[in-house]
Amino acid sequence: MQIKVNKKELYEGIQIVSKAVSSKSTLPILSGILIKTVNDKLKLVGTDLEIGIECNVNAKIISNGSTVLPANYLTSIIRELPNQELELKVNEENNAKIICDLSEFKINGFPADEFPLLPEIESGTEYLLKQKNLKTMIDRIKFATSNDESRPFLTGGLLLVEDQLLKMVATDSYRLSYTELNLDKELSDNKVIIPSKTLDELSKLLSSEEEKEVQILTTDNQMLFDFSGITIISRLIEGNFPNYNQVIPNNFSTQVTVKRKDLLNATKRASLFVKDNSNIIRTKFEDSRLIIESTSSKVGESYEELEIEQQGDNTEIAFNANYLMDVLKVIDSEEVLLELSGKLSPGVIKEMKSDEYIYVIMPVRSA
Amino acid sequence: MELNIIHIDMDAFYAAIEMRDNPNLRGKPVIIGGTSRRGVVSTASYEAREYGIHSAMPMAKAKKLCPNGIIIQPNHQKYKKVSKAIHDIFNEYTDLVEPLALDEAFLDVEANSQNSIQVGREIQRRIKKELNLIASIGISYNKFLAKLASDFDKPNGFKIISPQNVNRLLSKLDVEALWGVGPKTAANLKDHNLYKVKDIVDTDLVFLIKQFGKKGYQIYQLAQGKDKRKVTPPGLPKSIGKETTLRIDTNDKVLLSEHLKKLSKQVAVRVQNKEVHGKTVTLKLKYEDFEVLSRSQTVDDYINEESEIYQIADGLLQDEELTKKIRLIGVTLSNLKSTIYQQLNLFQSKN
Repeated sequence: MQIKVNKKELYEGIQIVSKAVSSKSTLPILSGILIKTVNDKLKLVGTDLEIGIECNVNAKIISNGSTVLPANYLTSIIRELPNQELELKVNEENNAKIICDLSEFKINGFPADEFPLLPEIESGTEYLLKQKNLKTMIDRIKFATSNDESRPFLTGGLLLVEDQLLKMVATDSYRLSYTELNLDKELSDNKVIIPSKTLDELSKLLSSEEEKEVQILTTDNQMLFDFSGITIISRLIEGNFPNYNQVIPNNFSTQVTVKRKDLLNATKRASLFVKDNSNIIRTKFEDSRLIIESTSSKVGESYEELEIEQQGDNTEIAFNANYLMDVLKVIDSEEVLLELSGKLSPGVIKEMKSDEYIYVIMPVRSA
Repeated sequence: MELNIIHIDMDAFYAAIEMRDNPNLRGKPVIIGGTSRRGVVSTASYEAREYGIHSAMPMAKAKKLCPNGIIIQPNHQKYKKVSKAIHDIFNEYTDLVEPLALDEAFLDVEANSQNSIQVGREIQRRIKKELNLIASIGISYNKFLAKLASDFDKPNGFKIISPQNVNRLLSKLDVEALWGVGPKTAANLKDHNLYKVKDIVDTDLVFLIKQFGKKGYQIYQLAQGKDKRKVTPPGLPKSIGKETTLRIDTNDKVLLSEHLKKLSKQVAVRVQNKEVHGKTVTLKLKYEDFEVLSRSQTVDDYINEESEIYQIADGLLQDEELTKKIRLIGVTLSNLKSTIYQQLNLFQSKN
């Protein structure tokens, strides 16, 4: 194999597919990137066999071929080379030579036919979405996934197509994030759990530009996302996602409107003292004032007061500050709506005037 | 690879308890389970198993197989009590006890000065002697193999799987013996002509990972007897205590107080490490004639400091009139609660 390729384009491609390459891999060859000539392009593939990422890079193909090169060395070599055309030659023994100007590197590769790929997806439910919309939905829920491997079905996000709505849900059983999008078209119902790693990579790679689209293909156990010259194939998580509908409260006894940024900053400050103490902050809603307090027996105390618009009862409730900050960082609107029902019932946080995003937090009971 | 992991599995647990408590049942096919129309067998005595009855079988079918079988409704309260007595024995040998069910548990005895084979023998003997029940013991260097071992020559089994005999034992087993291989995965494996554990070992790892993802890797590891899971005790302990056998029996309270002080400190350290505090302090004394006496005091506020524990324990000691010499002294803090806040759970019914 012999090709010529622009350094910058190759480097971008390598960075994209590297996201699927695991550092602690079960197979040595999986620490590498598959490089293959396809027509007039260079195809790059990385996988840890739970997720696979492919992308195409423009190249001048002098002779066809394929090989697998170690991702970490390849990345650092290409990064350090000057920004100009470089040449890649690979011989029968998978010894690769990278030549750029007067620099020359030799790396030992693996045979491409030993590179395991995720099984190909043949057919399934297929639809188009705006990349921006999918990205927003993923960002709204992915931080609420669990990392408890003993309950794998909570370690991913639920993606649900029903009633012409696309819904995504994630929960670690202490808080739950729900978001929906109107599809405006008939699609057959579909329900899958996407691993959080896949959500992370999608969030990083999907574009925020208005018009770009992503093609989605779903089967029982795999899912494919095709967008901007990148293909992501992911295994799905088996298992039953808990019934999220029954834990989203319908009623409340206190409803509060508060400036998002002020609440986020106050929460951040209050959490400074309590990092080692499960991050507990106490909030009090009293006559249109919100008081946030935290105490650390070793360090000291903090007190914050915010002006709010309040309807309903005065109340107080304690939360893990992280759970509150996570959602406040993602919400877009200037003000947020808090709905509470006493100190032992779940609290709800929403964007103003919208039911497209609902976040539920379970409180902490004091000792 | 030290043989530190013990798996203990009680033999026909529910049935054995009923037969122990009712001599009329002995030697007879006893079936414990729901007696309603849709009831299922939860345990069958070994006599009943000879009729082909096994747990999870519909009771109606069991009745057909063994019309003379004696069917008994399970008495879970009673089984729980016996289970606790068994776990109390386990806890004497290690802190690292992971219960799997009422009738089985993993122990990691690395910190015990006795070797695991002595501990295993002793536990099996004590369960027989103190509770009149039969247990099967499996000993190995990881959880998967220890559990496999306890299943080897049930009942009253005692099996050790060591790095020397592991491959010989594993290779002839069916794939279902591997942890995590249920009927679905087993069928899938068999579709690829993988019937025995040996077949898995001989298969290409790449192929397994391609077919089964992470699980393929796990199956491959287990087939070679590798398992990295640790023995993890569940959540909060019920009590934390420390005791010591004196080098020379004594009834000198000054000397005993000194021992209590040291023990209180050790308890306080462990209590604080576990992030709990407790309300009840118990003093345990064993006299030279092995008579055991324990005295407890419960306070209003939770405590976890050395001085607080010692003060109460020493008070209990001073109140005691020592008629005989003491050979063992211990102190325990119980009625424990987490010192941290309790995060409520969305999916658990209200409080």
